[in-house]
Order: sequence, then C-alpha cells, then structure tokens
Amino acid sequence: MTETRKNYLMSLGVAVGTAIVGVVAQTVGAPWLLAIVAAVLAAPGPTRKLLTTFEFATAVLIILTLATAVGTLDYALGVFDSLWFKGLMALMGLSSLLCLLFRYSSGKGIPYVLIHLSIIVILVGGAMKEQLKQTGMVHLREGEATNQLQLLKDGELSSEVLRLPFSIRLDRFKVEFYESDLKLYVFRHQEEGPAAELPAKEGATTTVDGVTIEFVALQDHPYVPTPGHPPIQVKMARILVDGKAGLVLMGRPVINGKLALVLDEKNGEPKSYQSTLTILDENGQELNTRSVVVNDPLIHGGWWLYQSNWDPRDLSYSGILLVNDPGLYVSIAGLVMLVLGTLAKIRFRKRNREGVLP
Amino acid sequence: MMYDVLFGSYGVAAHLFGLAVILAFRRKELPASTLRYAGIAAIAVGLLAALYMMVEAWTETGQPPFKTLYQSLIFFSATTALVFLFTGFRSAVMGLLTALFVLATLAYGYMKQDAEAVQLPPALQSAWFIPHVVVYFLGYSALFVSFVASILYFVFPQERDLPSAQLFGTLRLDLDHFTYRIVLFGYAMLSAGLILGALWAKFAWGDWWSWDPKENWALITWLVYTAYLHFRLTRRLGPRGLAWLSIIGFLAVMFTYLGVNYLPSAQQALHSYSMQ
Repeated sequence: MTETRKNYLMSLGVAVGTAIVGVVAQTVGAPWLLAIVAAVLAAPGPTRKLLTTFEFATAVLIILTLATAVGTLDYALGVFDSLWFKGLMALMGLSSLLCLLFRYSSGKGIPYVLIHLSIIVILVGGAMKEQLKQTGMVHLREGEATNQLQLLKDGELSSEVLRLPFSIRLDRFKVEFYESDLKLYVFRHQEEGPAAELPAKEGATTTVDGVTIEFVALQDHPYVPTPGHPPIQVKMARILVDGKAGLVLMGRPVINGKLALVLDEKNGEPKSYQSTLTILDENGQELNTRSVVVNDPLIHGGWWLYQSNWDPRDLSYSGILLVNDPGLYVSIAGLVMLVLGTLAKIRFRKRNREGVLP
Repeated sequence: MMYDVLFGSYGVAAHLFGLAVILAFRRKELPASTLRYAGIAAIAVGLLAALYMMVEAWTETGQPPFKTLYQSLIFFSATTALVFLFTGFRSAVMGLLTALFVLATLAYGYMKQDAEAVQLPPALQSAWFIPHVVVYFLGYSALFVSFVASILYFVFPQERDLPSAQLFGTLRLDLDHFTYRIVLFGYAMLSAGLILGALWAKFAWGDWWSWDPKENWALITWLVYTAYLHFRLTRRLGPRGLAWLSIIGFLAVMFTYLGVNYLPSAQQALHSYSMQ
C-alpha cells in the first residue's frame, strides 16, 4: 500500500472515530469528551503526525463537504446541531493549527499563516457563539418599558426570562408602505383569482380568451351613491374592449361576456418598520435613544437590538430581538483575516518563466 | 428594446466565434483572427447593453437591480463578459463557450422574468447588499472561465499540438496554470462574498451564520475550491484530476446560485429569490 493511500485510510479512521465519539458524547451528554479526543490527537505521536499530513487535511475537507450537503438536503437529520458534525469541524481547526505549528516554513508566506489561522479563529468564535450566545425577545407597546427578556431556545420562545441590566422603552413604532397599486383585474366566470391584471398605464394591453382589453386613462368620476346626496369622487378607468370604449368604476365589477373586469387598489408591501427605542439604566436614567430599523440594530453593552416583529392589527406593538454573542468580534477578526489572506494570494501579473498566460 | 440588443449581441458573438473556430481549424489564420476581434466587440456591446438595462432599472425603481432572478442573471451576463474580456479574450473557443453560456443564462432568466418590478423588502435594504452581490458574481464569472478552461483541457491537453495558434491567440496557453490563476481570483471573491454575507446577516438577522441552505452551499463551494487549491499547490493531483475538481467546483457554484431554490429545505430559506 502506498504512503498516500495509507494516510487517507488512517485519516478516514480518525474522522469516523471522532464522529462516533461525537455521537456518544451527545447521547451521554458529555461534550467535553470531544476535547479529550482533540488533546489525544494533538499529543506528540503518530496521530499528530498524521494530522499534519496533506492527506488528513483534504480528507477532512471532503468529509465536511459531503456532511454539509447531506445536512442541507434534509434538516430533519439535525446534522448542524450534532456533536459529530462539530467534532469534524474541530478536526478541521486542529488540522489547520497543527499545519501552522509544524509545517510552516518562511517560503509559504504570510497568506498561508493568515488563511490557516483565520480558520482556527473563526471556529473559536463560532464555538463561543454556540456556548455563550443569549437571544431573546421583548414585546412592547408604545410608551411601555421593560428589562425582562423572554429567552429563545433553539429558535423557539421559551418561558425562561432573563433580567437585563438595563430597560428598553418603545417610544414610537412606525410602518411605512410602498405606494399602493391600482390595477384592472380580469376574472373568468367562476374561476378563483384574476386571469390577468392590467397596470393603470396608458396603452397597457392584455388578451384573455380572445378578448383584448386596453387601458386608456384613469380619471375621477363624480358618483352619486344615493339620489339627493352630493356626489363623491370615485376613480374610474376608461378602457377599450376589442376596440370599443368602456368604463370601469373603482370597486364595481363590469361583466363582459364570460369575463368580469374589476378596478381595484391593493396596499403596497411594507417598506420599513421603525421603532424608536430608549435605553434606561436601573435608576430610570436615559442612556441612549435611537430609532431601530431592519438591517440597522442598536448596540448597547454587548447586546444587539433588532427590529424583528410587528402586528398588523396592533400598530403600537413592536417585537425587538436581542442578541448577545461574546464570540462575535473573534469571528469577525477571523473572517477579515481569511479575506486578507485570500486576496493576498491573487496574482494579477505574470510572474516567472512560465510565460504561457493568455 | 434593450433586451433584444443584449440577447442579440451574444447571438452575434457566438456566430462570429463559431466561424473563427472553424476557420482556425482549417488553418485560415487571418480571417479567424479578424472574426475573433469582431466577436470580442459583440461581447463588449452585450456588456454595455446589460449595464444600460441595470442603470435604467435602477433609476426607474430607485432600487439596486439585483432583486429578482431575472435582474441578477442580467448582471451575471455583465460580470461574465467582463471577466472574459480580461482573461479569455485571446481564445475563440473560449469566446464561443462564453457567448453560449450567457445566451443560456439569459434565456433562463427570460423564462423566469418578473411580471412587475418587485418592491424591495426591508431585509434587502442594506448597504451590504450591493458589495455582497457584486463580489459574488465576479467570483462566479471567474469560476465560469476557469470551468471552461478545465473542459478545454480535456479537448486540448497541453502536450498535444494545437490545431491552430489562433484557437488560443498567439501564445500557447497552459490551461492548467490558467485555471489555477483564475481560481485564485474566484476563490478570493468567494471568501469575500461569504464574509460580506456573514456581516450582513449579523446586521439583518442577528446571527452571522445560521446554516441556511444558501449559506451551506456557499460553504460547500468554498470547500471544493479549498480542496482544489490544496491539491494544486502541493501538486498531489495531476492536471487531469485538477480539471475535474474545477469542473465539480463550478457545478457547485451553479447549484448554489440556481439549484438551492429547488431544494425542499429552501422553502424557509432566507435567500430564495422570488420565483415566479
């Protein structure tokens, strides 16, 4: 058997062994078993030597790739929450670490160090997140304040409540919508949902069951709901049906053979949700006031406050998500190192004797 | 209509490059070379048409033109043209394959065309949005060119004499080396895109990584190219094996971009385009 093949087989054995320990650790509830495995593998000896080989690094890459694909195919398998998967990720970190410690030579350059170190740092940040992250929701109506955080466990709201070292007050909540959309809808007889929709634009045309409908103009029309009362202004579409002029009043269906034409206005989708929040200390002193929108959280003492929920039936309510991830800046440092390392590896110019570039 | 210009210019480019390849095989160097330059010009026209459409859509809606699959595919055609004009332009074969690929993606995009301009939901209104998409698409396009080079490796292994110098310009091309250099660039873009996405996710959803299907496939793609680079840098695999890895890598790219939406688990995904 060649050295390469032997190393691959042994690497596979180490990976499978680690995964088995992961499964056992999860079953008996002892995640520190994995740490013991890592320590044994990294101790001087033949396994540590194996872990610094090229074969081990690539074997772990391939196994992780396959495991991620399988886990994505069916989330019910719970791959990404499992300790065996985390064990494999730990092996990738261990492999990077040992390569840095025992295989680095100055010829490999700074990008080599940055990229391999970044993997370790990202994984450490991820592990810190996994162990230490706290997440929860506060539900507030305008004017209310609270320091009670309803904790989220595995993405579900739990009954557990955490008392925050500060209070959050919702001063104001505001939803903005995109402009509403006025359209002419064409329905078929006894069919649910429109068969076609025509934007209220001059010249817009559609053909349904051989009938061509063209939008001509939109105008206000004085409409008398009850005789004797003053007229109200109603929107009206002037249209052409197969070249013949016709009128459709807002909200009043017009029947044309087997088709019904309805001019209707649909509310636009929400454009932004905005909560104005004030952070108060334990004595009720105001520390910070800011408006929070999606994509722009308020950051206070390690806690990130997100606009996260609203209630269309109660527009004074706002749901604020709170996240505290002590590993965040570790992870970000690792991610930045990874980008710098890979960017530094790009070669834009032709370098040496190879001279065979396009 | 600008879409016709866009589609038409790649159609013209495909014909010009196709003719150039045929003439090159018949060793008619001069007309082949002229046709190749004409093909490059047609691709440049396609690039300008795509940019025009994007600027038009942006000014019309006031929103970056990446929201729908159709819009993203038009942008993808632009980045692919750009990468081709910087790297693969000396090769008529590469021009032909690039033009055909762009035609296929545009046709797919046309099928999935939106009925109306989609209103940008709050989660996509972010300063991270544009760099995230631009960096990823530059990476995808670069990896497309490396994928083409890998396929060509099987057609013209470097040891063999090429039918004509015109197929790869005046210099003979070391396809293995060419692929490697473009993968380096594409890999850096994948890494940067992944990181921009992670930071954006932290600002939008509170978590920089949440094992969402799109994230996972981006990771899978990244891992495949990580393996490619390890094998290339240590020369543990020969050019044939590396070409296979590069092909697998690009298939993963395409699956990440277009295939993830079809996964059963993508229904809850945070990244799905609105598929009409």
